[in-house]
Amino acid sequence: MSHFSTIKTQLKEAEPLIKALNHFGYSINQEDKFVKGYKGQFTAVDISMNLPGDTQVGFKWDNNSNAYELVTDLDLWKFEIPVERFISKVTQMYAYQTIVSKTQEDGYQIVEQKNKNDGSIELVLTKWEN
Amino acid sequence: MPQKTLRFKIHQDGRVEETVEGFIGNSCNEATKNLENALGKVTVMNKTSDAFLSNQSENLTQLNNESNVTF
Repeated sequence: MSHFSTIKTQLKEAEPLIKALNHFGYSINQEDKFVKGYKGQFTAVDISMNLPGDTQVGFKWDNNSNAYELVTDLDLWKFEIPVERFISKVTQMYAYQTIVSKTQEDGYQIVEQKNKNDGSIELVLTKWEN
Repeated sequence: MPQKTLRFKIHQDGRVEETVEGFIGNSCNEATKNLENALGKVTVMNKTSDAFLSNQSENLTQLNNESNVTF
């Protein structure tokens, strides 16, 4: 039997999220766990970082959605790409990092990886069963 | 020694399409459960059974609360 699924990616785990952020060269700020968020209020976050241009960004665990959510002050957003694009980029890389690490744990190997023209990443992994 | 294959297409908006091949019976679902939990929410799942050639599609996002019952 085989199956085909569509999954709406959510930022569920810290480790692949941090790997995704590091992949783009964003450094995690270990000292300061507060980010200026909605209406300029400082919000405690689980992961905080500074984007180039002093844009402050954090990720905070949200019990309602059961995932990490972005915290930032949109009035202070001075990064080179819009915030929606930033979230998409991080989410796509989070999915990639999660797939690679979870499948490796299960003994799969990457046999094909392509960056497609439509901006998607295609991955094929295989495992031989004894 | 059957070969198990996982195929992924990770879209720019973070949507992931996953195809799982080479599993026998329901072990197919077990194989990727942990991964799917770490990735997010499964919105559509199609099971294909080579034995029965039947397609069963469950859309997990749509709750069946649109019942038009008239008495």
